[in-house]
Amino acid sequence: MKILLISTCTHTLNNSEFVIPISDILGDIEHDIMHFEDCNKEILSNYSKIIICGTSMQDFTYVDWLPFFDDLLKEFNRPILGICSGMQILTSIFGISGLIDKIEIGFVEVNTLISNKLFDGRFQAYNLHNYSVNDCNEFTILATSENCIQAVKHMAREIYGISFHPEVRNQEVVKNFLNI
Amino acid sequence: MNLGILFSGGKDSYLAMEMAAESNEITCLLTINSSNQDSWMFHTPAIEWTKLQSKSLGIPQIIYNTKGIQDEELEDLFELIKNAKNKFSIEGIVTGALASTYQSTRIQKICNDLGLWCFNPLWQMPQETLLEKLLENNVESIITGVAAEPFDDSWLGRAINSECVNDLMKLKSSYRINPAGEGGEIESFVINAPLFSKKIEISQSRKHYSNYSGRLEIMEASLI
Repeated sequence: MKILLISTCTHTLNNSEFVIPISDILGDIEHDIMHFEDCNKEILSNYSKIIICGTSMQDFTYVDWLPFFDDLLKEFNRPILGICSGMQILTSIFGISGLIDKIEIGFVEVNTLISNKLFDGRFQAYNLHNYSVNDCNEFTILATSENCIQAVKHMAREIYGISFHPEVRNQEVVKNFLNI
Repeated sequence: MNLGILFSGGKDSYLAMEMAAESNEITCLLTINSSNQDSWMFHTPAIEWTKLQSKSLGIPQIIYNTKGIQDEELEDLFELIKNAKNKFSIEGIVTGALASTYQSTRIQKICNDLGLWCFNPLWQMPQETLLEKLLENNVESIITGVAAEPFDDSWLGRAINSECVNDLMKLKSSYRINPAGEGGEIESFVINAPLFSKKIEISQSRKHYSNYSGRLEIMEASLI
């Protein structure tokens, strides 16, 4: 089955920056790109995995749509990867965790805390966000930087969130997710 | 949305502007004229002739001069963008950044501090795709700077057409050149494009070249 890339970009011009590079990583793997407002549960049932892509630092539209995401994704029982805003959405709806003000722009050192299927060790990763996520009971923290939680996994399901942008560096994280 | 474009006059900033112009209003060109030819932030060849591009595009331009000293040039860029925000009520900035996290990180920080959107439509675009897009979109540009082996002085002033793109792709495999010049191997200047009302004709120029490094000095040019 196919992969669905969900865009959280309010302006289509941002897709070329945050969604198309993820699509390029997928290459020949069959996938579709759809803005979240065009998604519904029936459409999602056609896909084996979902990647929720990031968006611009000034784009906060997704925050107003959290109840929509809650309804859309709660019953999707296959793997989901949320990148940046995507991670914030996933932890907000599955973990009921509020967002916190934490700015990171550029490369940070990421330290893996728990062995997982996406990455390991210490590595440099590119971040671009005004918000970060709180620790919460539903998710295990997989990695941190000096200031922020960098990656989480749902305790019971194959739902992952990463704060950093793998389209800039660490593309293998996306490939590893596809192999889950 | 009203947007300003960080405009060096080269193929990347033009292409980014054209993509942004599809669904936004480009209200000003923002140009930094750096006296440091080795600036990491700003591309320098032919920068003074961007005024002709501004005229042909019918888009006003703000030019700031900078000495190109590493931290000071960022303060100059901050002031330039702040000025454009006040003068043209822009809500965001467009850049032609392709893969340089050095450049994009610094521009993202400035935009975030000023509450502006930052758009990088070419971000992570494969360089072959970018070159193909230039040809597809009929963007006519010439090479105004070279800085890598095996570029000799015959490359200076050469039109970036399909033959040139083929040659650049060959150099990718034989010399590991970034074919669109992302590593600074080549600099370019747009002389005609779909958004231009008139073409730029270069009537007099001079080549400065030694040891795989050179630039084309444009001495006389006009809109025709």
